[in-house]
Amino acid sequence: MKPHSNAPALLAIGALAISLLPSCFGHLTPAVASAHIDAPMLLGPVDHVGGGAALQTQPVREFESTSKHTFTHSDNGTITVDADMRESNVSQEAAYATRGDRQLDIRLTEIKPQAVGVWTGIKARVDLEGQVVRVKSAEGASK
Amino acid sequence: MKTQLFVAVACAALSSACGVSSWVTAPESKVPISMSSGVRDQTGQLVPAARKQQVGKFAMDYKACSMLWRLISFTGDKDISEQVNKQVADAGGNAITNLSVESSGTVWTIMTLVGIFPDCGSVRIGGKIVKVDTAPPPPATPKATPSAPPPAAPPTPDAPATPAEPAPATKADAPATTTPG
Repeated sequence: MKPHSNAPALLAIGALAISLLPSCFGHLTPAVASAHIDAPMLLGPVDHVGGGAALQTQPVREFESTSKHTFTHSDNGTITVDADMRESNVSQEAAYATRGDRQLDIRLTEIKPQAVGVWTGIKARVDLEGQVVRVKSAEGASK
Repeated sequence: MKTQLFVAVACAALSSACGVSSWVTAPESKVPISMSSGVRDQTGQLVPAARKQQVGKFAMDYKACSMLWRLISFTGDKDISEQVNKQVADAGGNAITNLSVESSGTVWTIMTLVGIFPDCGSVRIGGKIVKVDTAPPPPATPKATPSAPPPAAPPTPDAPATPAEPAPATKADAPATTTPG
């Protein structure tokens, strides 16, 4: 009996992998998280410019916010429904958390981008978590 | 009946999508990274816009990969410190402001409707590289009241005081005439 060769199967798998590779690219339903406030919203250990020791802070409250983007498509043959929903409460939550106080900062402890495919579309979201802190400035100008 | 229930649960579990997740971190960053326009100086005061100058744009992107309903994240923590330090140094800045994080799916995200399969998504990170003037502010000078007219001539000891606009009494003047307690 003639031995079977694995070459065609490997070739097919390779071709499949190469053909699927482009599917890893693209940006579908982007959810963007950014904050339009004056208070610093910091990621990382450095809390000010110019070097030196970290500023003295006092924790005030927790902070959480999310930015979402969902696109769904459904079609039953006669009716087609597309829904494109963007929702972000990052700026609102940040503004509420700092309340216009110039001595309050938000120190982010987690930035979590996610994307999930569902039967009818894609959901993407960015979750933010952190802590609101009160900065003790050198001039003691807390109001 | 139990078999049908098991099949239904299994189908529901298998049909839920995989998805991707990762975590953006910057533990080794040498400059402040702010998602807003705000940044502080050494004294803890907010830096006014006049002392900030945009010198470049920060940008990086990466692919996040997960499998098994995002229980296994191949990407895990994505440390952006190296890119931050490099791009900020190249641009001559000393902070990043207006950082934005964008998460999006790919075609592969649609294809991996069975959650056990590996999935990949795209993450874009952007921001402004700014240079903040860190020079210490000039020493405080006595504030001149803008409405006060400049002295016309140095008063002579014998000249009578002009009654037109007496200088307003300030708290700085008070200790000379008051006693504590």
